[in-house]
Amino acid sequence: MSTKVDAKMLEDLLRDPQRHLRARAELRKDLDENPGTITYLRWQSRLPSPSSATPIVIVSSFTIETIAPFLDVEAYVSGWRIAPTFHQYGQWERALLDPSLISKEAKACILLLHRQALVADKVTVEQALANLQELIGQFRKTHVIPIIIGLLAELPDVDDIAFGLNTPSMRVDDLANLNAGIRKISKEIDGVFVLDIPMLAAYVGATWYDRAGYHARLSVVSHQGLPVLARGIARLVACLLRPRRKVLVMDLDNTLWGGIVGEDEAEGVALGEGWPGAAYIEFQKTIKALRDSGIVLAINSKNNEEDARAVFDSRAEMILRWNDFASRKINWNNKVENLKEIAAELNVGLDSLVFVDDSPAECALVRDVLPMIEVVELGSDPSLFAKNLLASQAFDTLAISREDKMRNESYAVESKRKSLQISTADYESFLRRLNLRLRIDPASGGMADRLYQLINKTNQFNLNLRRISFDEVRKLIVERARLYAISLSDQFGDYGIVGSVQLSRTDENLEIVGLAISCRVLGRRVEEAVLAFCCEQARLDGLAQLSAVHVEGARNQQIQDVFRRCEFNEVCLSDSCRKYTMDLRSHNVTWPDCFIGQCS
Amino acid sequence: MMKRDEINMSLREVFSIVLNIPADSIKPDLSPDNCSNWDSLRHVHLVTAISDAFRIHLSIEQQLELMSFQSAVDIVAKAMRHNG
Repeated sequence: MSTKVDAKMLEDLLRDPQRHLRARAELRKDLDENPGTITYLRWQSRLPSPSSATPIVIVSSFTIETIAPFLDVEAYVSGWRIAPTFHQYGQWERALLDPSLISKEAKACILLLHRQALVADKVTVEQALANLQELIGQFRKTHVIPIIIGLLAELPDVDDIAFGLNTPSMRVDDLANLNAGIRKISKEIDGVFVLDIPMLAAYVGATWYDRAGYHARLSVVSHQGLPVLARGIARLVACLLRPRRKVLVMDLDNTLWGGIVGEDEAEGVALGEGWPGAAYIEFQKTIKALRDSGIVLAINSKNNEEDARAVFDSRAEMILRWNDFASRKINWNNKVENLKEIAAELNVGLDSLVFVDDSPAECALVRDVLPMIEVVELGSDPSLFAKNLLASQAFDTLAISREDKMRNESYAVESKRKSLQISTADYESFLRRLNLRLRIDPASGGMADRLYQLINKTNQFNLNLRRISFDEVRKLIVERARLYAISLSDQFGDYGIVGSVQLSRTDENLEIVGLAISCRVLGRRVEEAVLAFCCEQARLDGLAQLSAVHVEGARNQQIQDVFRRCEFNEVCLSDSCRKYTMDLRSHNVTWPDCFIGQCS
Repeated sequence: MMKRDEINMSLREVFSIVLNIPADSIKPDLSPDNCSNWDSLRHVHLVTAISDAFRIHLSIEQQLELMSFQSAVDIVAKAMRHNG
């Protein structure tokens, strides 16, 4: 991992849109090695000009505008481009209260405060928090965008003892209480998230605070602190703009355990107490935690399958189990081919995969042939594996949804369904024996995470592949636009929310403007049930026509089959664009009889 | 100890990157008055980039004095003499 970044190569990578993942990884490496202002400014001027940049508002009680070049570069590393607007020092409270000051286009509001701006002469911590809660509450009345509040990052100092560390309401206590209060506000007001700035500040420790700068120009964060703060903001906002990757594909030898099982045998590989076995156990715990958070695991390893299996069977120290992996390619094939098979088997796009390997050669091969896969080169020190994997940001997320937690369980349940299918004579009676229950509910606040995920990750059964940001999903919910969540369960378990549909009414017509259904439930006739629901909705509105415009992408042709099967009228608008309509006075879509319940 | 010529060369690179202008366009009298990229924000970056590049600390007074390329050379030469 310590190979120096080749500046010329990185410049070339930055110019190649196909290689942006590689460019981001190399840029990260260079910034970590040379975190100075000059490195950021040098790369800022070489970033490709963005096709679109995300407007972000930064409201701060101190001077922060100097963070702009750091934000520019760090946002690029996190996979997005930023267009920031700043409201600083004296203006910060007004910016929250006056709706006209913050553009409706903004995708998020970052609120950065310092202690002296909140707690003044006669203002106690309690009053300061009550004021802050009031301000954010007011802001929430006029804006639905996510608010990200930074915890106060004034580091306690050894010299604080001069004021009596055990004296109540001194600086250290005030900071702790203010930060606890800010966390509480984030739980009480919808769409408020916390940025843990003290954790970021710890990276640069004592150099975080800009003492002279504070007195000269009210700048709290030093130039050593700015890149770290920019990194924290860029990484958190990225979670609002793109969903996490779904699948982690792992090598085995010198990745899950130390040594090579083909040579050292199952008993000989390093696992368990002591160096380096303990480090591999620690890494496995991280992988297990990712699995529990909804990441699907797969193996891609050059080995004899029985040798690899023997480690899982005979080494009690193993944290990961054989069945924790939803797909296993343990063979002597090219790893690129294995990756393609894994994606096909799990029914996900290659751009949902993260591939980790200790071998630079394997990593280079995959990067070259499949640049859409996020490749993480683990290096040679197993104690850094988890850090290197997580630093890729591929699995970053703001929250873990119920569906995330259920995902791996559902892969196991799927095999039970398959055995029922095999033992049942025909598909229709299999569907009836599943006891399918479908619900279609108006979307509500708690569903925002999951709907955002579905709308952005679904490539196959997706009407128009229109992607929307987390902020836009929240907006639809708050404004009570007709966005619905589709949930499914059967006798084997609960699938959770598996789809979303969005309707829009005009004078004569109800239009389906968004429709996405998870590939896990395709073939269960959910598609037809949703169209039946849309017909019902149109009738309830007294409308005579239901319509939808299908925009064809690389993998969503099955949308056409369903509309044709339900006898919609089809008009070609262009090569990739078809309009479907149904005259409800003469036609209808009926509920498939395999569902027991249907409600909304 | 760094010679004035070397300081001049290194500073030219720093100014060129921070202000995003070609190094050979930098004249001794380059200042916020004749360089539109040299605004108050870039001034802060110039100060930190110079501090990093020469491993020196610039006082607030020195930061305020640094108002032309020539003054930067003088300030750095003086600061390095103190350090040396």
